[in-house]
Amino acid sequence: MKLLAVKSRSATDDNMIPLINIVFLLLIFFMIAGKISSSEAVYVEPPLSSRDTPLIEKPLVVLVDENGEISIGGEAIDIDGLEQRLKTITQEEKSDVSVKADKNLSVKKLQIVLHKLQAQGVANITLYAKVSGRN
Amino acid sequence: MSAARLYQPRRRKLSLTALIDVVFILLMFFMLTSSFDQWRAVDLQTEPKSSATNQKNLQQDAQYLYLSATGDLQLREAEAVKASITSLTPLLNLIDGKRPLILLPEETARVQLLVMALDEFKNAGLSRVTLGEVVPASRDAY
Repeated sequence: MKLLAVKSRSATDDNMIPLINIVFLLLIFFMIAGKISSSEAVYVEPPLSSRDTPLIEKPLVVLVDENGEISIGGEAIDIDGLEQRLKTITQEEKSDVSVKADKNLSVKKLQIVLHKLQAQGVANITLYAKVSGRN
Repeated sequence: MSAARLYQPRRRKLSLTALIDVVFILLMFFMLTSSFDQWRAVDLQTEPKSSATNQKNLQQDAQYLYLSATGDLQLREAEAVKASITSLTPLLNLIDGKRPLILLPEETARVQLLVMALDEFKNAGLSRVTLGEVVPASRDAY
């Protein structure tokens, strides 16, 4: 009479090897291709753009959400706070600033932030945009 | 059988379960925190706040273009001609590429619309576009 064969532990481990291979490949893919995104004080959905100018990371990034709330370095501040913050930053850092504005933000609110930046000596302002699928 | 072989310590086989647990946790972490967004730069040229003389010269020479909240474009010099940001053709004949172009968006226009307009101008070969002051929805007040 043939009894049910009892699988040894090493046999079950061997069956897991293809699974481990795939999981390792996925892990390597996410580690290399992905970029760990930092959490911000305000949620911003940037506008879509069809242009192909790659963004060069600037030392100072000002986030403005849909309601005009501002954040710098993960800290939420108001428009007067922005002015105070810019006063503490060196002129070199201030020369080039990126603005990550929400796509639904009104231009009027964006303009207020831009005027504050200009008033504090910011010369070049770059707006963040995401690649649209229209390329 | 040799004595060395007799006393060789048995190799303990490690269980793979612990390894896969750790790898799964790492995978979850990277999947949840990774971002694959491709960012693009939109250069914003804003009206200079320098000397009043410079600004006056720029304003005299410049062409002003209104951008409505619905995406319509109108040249101040020829308000009868209206174009959409998706089709600039009616305006392109009227715009002088050598003169600076100042875009005056309506106060309720959204940033997405502004970026679309700047993209279309760039595609049409108009690179000297400056962002001007916002105009009220009822333009007569401006």
